[in-house]
Amino acid sequence: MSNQELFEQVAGFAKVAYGYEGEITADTTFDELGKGSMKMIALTSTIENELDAEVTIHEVMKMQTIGELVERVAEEIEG
Amino acid sequence: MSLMDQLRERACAARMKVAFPEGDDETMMRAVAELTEQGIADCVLVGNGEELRSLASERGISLDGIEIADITDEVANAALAERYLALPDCPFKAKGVARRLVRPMEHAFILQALGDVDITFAGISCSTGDVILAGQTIIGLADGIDTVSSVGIFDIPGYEGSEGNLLGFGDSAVCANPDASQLASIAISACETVAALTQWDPRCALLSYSTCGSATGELVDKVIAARDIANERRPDLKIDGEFQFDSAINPRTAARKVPRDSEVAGRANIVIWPDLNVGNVGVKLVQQFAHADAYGPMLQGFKKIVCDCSRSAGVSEIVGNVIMSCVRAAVLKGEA
Repeated sequence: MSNQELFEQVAGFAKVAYGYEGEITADTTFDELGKGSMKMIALTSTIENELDAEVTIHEVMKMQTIGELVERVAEEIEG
Repeated sequence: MSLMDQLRERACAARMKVAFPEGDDETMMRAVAELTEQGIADCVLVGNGEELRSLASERGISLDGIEIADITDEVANAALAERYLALPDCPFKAKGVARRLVRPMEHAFILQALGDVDITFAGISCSTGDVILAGQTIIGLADGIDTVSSVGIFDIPGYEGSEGNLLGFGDSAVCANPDASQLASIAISACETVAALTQWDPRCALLSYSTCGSATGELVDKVIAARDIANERRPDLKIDGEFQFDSAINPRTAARKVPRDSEVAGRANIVIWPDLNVGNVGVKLVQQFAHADAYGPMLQGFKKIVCDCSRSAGVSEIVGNVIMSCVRAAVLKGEA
């Protein structure tokens, strides 16, 4: 899977998990997506289920942007 | 009889089953042995069975009457996975479930989600954040609740409030900067938790620096919005505000400052801090100046009872926390 395809997949998961209707770029922050750890849990669960990549919520909580999350998911898939 | 003595009696009368995923910790294992010996709860140690038995033997702790859920038992894990995956709200696929069943805390939560245990108790070797996140993921939040929070009960020498020396308070430990909806959730959860433990009719005051519009500003607006949300979600509960602390608990002040009927003003038995800054400072003030003890803080807001303890907790503190959790779980199941 190319980096762009991976980004589009993760961005799509984030839109559903956060109920976000705007455009998501690599620089979109989690603050912009909205508050709520349940939404973050939904996002990490979807990533794990669909891409078989486990990124913990603790890790995501330390991230600022979707771009960082996509990089971490890519590492997990490659690893 | 003290509140804790009453709770102990109630816990023993309706025994709940409690999962302990940190049985490898010596203090936790000793607490589990004591809970079992005193007939307070049916205890399940979750972990590597062989390792747990060996540790118990080294420590001279009897595991008689204590169940062990062995995370290395592949046959048992496969059976659990099949049942868990069949739950309509299981958030994972088979691989994710298998991954989690070999981790003690998540294994414990899966047992709880399946109804095999009533309570998960952890926190002595992992952070409150870890317990909360695993609990939110596998157990989920209660209906109408959008944040995990905490509640405690002060025992304040010399205080003569509507429940004698006792006063419920929340949240002073978990939700740092709640929005109005989360603040409403904290109040609703606190009413449920405190009522389960004390059998009081909860009267819950949302605190502010303003009483009924005596001051204005966005901080006041948040508390007013929280009251409206709480009343809309749970019209059966007595949740009111915005009140200053004295207006909430002192009938004379309430009579002067609250210009409308209220079932809460002046006789609140639960107070809700507007955020964690206030909550932390408030608790420290009461402890330092009034020499109060506190039961808790207890986690709340989950679909089922999830409890953590401080990493420095001793055996008696763990036993007390488990007793409170058991009573809450029994009330939730309609058995107490």
